Amino acid sequence: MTASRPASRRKSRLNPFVFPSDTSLRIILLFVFVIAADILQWSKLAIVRLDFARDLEKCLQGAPFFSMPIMQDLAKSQKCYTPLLSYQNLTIGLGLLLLTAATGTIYWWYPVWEARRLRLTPLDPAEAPGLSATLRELCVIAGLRHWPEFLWNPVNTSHLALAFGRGGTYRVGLTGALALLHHTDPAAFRAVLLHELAHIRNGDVERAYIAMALWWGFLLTAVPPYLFVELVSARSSFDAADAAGLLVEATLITGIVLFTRNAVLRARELYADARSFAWCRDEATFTRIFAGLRPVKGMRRLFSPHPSPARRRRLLDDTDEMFRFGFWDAFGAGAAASFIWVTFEFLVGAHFLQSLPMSMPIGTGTSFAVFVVPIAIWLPLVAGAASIAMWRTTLLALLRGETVRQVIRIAFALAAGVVLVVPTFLSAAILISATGGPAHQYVEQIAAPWSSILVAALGVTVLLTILLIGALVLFLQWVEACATSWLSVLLYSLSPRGPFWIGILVSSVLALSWFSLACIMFGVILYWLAVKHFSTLSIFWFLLIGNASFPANLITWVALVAFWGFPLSAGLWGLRGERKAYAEWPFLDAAPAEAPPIERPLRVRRALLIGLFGGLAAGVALPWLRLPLPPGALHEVGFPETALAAMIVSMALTSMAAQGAIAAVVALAVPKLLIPHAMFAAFVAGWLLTAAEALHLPTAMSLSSVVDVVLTPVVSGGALFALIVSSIMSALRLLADTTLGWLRSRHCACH
Amino acid sequence: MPDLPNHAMEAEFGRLLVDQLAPEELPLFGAISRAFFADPKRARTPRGGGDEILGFGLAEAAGLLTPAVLAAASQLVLYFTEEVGKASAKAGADFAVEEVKRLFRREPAATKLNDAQLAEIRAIALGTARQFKLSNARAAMLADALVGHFLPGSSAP
Repeated sequence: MTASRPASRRKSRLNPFVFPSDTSLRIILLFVFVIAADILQWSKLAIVRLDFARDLEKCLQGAPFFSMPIMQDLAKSQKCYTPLLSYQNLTIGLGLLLLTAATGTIYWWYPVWEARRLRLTPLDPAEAPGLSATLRELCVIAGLRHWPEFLWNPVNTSHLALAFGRGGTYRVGLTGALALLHHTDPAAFRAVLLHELAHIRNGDVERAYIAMALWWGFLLTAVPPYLFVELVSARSSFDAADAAGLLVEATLITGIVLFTRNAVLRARELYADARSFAWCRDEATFTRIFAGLRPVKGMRRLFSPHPSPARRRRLLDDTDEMFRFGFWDAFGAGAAASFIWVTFEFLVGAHFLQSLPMSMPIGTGTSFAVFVVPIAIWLPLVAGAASIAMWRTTLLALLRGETVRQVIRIAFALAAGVVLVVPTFLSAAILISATGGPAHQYVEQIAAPWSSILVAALGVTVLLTILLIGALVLFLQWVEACATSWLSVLLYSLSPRGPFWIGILVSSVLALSWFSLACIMFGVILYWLAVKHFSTLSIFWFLLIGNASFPANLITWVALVAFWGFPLSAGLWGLRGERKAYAEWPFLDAAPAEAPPIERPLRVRRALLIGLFGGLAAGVALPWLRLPLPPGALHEVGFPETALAAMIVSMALTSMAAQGAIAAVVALAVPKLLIPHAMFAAFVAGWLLTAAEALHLPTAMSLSSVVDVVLTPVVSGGALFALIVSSIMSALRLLADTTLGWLRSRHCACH
Repeated sequence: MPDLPNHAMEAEFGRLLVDQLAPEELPLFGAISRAFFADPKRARTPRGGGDEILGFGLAEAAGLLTPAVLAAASQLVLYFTEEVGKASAKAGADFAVEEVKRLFRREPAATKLNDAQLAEIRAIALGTARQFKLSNARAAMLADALVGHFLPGSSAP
């Protein structure tokens, strides 16, 4: 079959299978939601079943349990909460066990049930020899290693084909009406069957049936037990408001799970379409088939298990939209992250509360562990997912000659998902109780007007969202820089897999490192804010000195080097021969014979030279460039008021400023990926400046002291300066480019 | 593979009608009729069959007609057997079977159907069409073909 569309109108369709698909990302999301929702349901069941609120009230002698004094009184908390925690752990364990058993059973029996439901029997080749021969031919086209078993129900009058099965044993079922298409409309028959075989080739049959099994498993084992216990426990006092609340809650939770399940199913259909279009270029037939599908309009698109036929039709022309990270996918990933965070927060908190000795006060260490450990579990996952999305977006931008526009959108969606779903919901519930609303007896009351509380809550939400967006933009831009530098090389190589997966791993590890560092810094800042004598300089200095101790030093060095090391190491990847044509892997169809070469964005040598010469020049001039210290500065940073101490602090600050200046020069000197280049040059200069400063130190000073007092502050402080300067320069460059582009487009429009 | 012997008459009549109404279905007629008579329940639309979540369904396309034709033929055999049995109770079962065969084959010696019986045939056809969720046009086509077959004066094909 050949395409009916003239070749000139077609641009090369990009291959959406080079990176992990949306189906994979969404099934992980579904797993997360289901497990977190199951834990939530069973923990609530434990509270209701034990009538824990009443017991807790008694134990706390009427004091609200959601109050600072109670939370800080570990002995009391342990005494009052232990009965619940043991029971709750048991019910959660039971709930997860039930969910696993139900999901596993449903998954196992689903194919059997599917065959029975559709009354399918094996297709005997003697019964329909022509049909069987065509099916064998299609299996060859699909390149399947293990052919599926074909089943049919010749008397089923609807048009349906279905790939199903489990664990590598696949079946394709078809109805009589569809089998008839083999005679009446062979092209349509081939198109539909190739789509089903594409599901097998894409490996999404298991994922689809796991998604279905998870949904039914959740619906059977998580929702009814809680509703039953709630209704039985509150027989006499249950009113309409309680019923409405329960209904809304159950609908919300099951709605989220259903929404995510259907997102998995929609995604897999699009990938099967993309695969089958590559095998069968009969666009007229596909167009005809899609025209015959039921349209999915408006908001139904978000909840339907089928993608809109119009969207499926668009994939015939190009697959570009499969490379863009959807807003709701990013929002869902953020919401899943906060859902897991809150769930694990609860589990880790309960574990700490049970296992800590009573004599131990709840201090910053415990709070830190309770706060950080759950985040350390989900952060690499979310960072990995966001990185995969950025690699896809960057590939699209490179091949289409566009700039990556999705960074802010993805960052906003992720941040909104994290902040607006679970934390906002929980905070709102607590605030309502704290201001005299329902369950007010359990929460410490706030004596402030509603309007002030609302304004403060909104302010905190907006601030958190903005902070998170800022951090995410920085992270995503870094991932984009890595993807740009590596893809500009890999587009001429046989496969992107190795560097891509290393990139995702590095992103996940770095996200965790940066988060840990940010937490440490935040903790230090909080500590110094609590101390009476502090200044900006002292906080800054102690942050840098704090990086000298383990494990902060290890995290800092890994984070610093990986920041520029991974993107710039693409420069070491040698390209053989002339770069006339791209590799085959980025394209679904044949690679374009003539394509504009992708400009390699790396100027590592330039950055290295600027770093070397800038560092050397600043190092030589260091004694004369020393920044003056404000009065009392040495005292603030805990140093004695001596000339040597003044020299160390002053030279260190000067070196940091010099690295900032070098970063600015590099940002002006390189055309692309300003931040990694600038950070690299600043790093090189930092070592030279450390060496220069060390020359002025007394020879008796030990190497470890030099590392702690000079090298660590100079290099890590310089990196901070370089990051700020290069980020500003990068933003200015972006602004200038956008303005120039706009002016040019206006100019063109005028003429 | 031969048709099941006790359904040969329905199959023969069904093939005649399919040839007339949906000749494109003839290549699969043998397989469909054997499957239908082996287990007529297989023709029932499965639960949720209108919106298959995991399958590729062409909702707007016209479905198969053969199973509906075979189901209607089976219903007619039952109806005729009952009618002939009522009219000639003393003649015996073998006579009834032969008479039904004559009716289906439109032999000149076959009993002539009256208007009420023709109306009943139409009702059977439309009822079967409803069961198989045929469109109104296809249902009317099936009913017309069935009634037309048994109209007095119509010639055998």
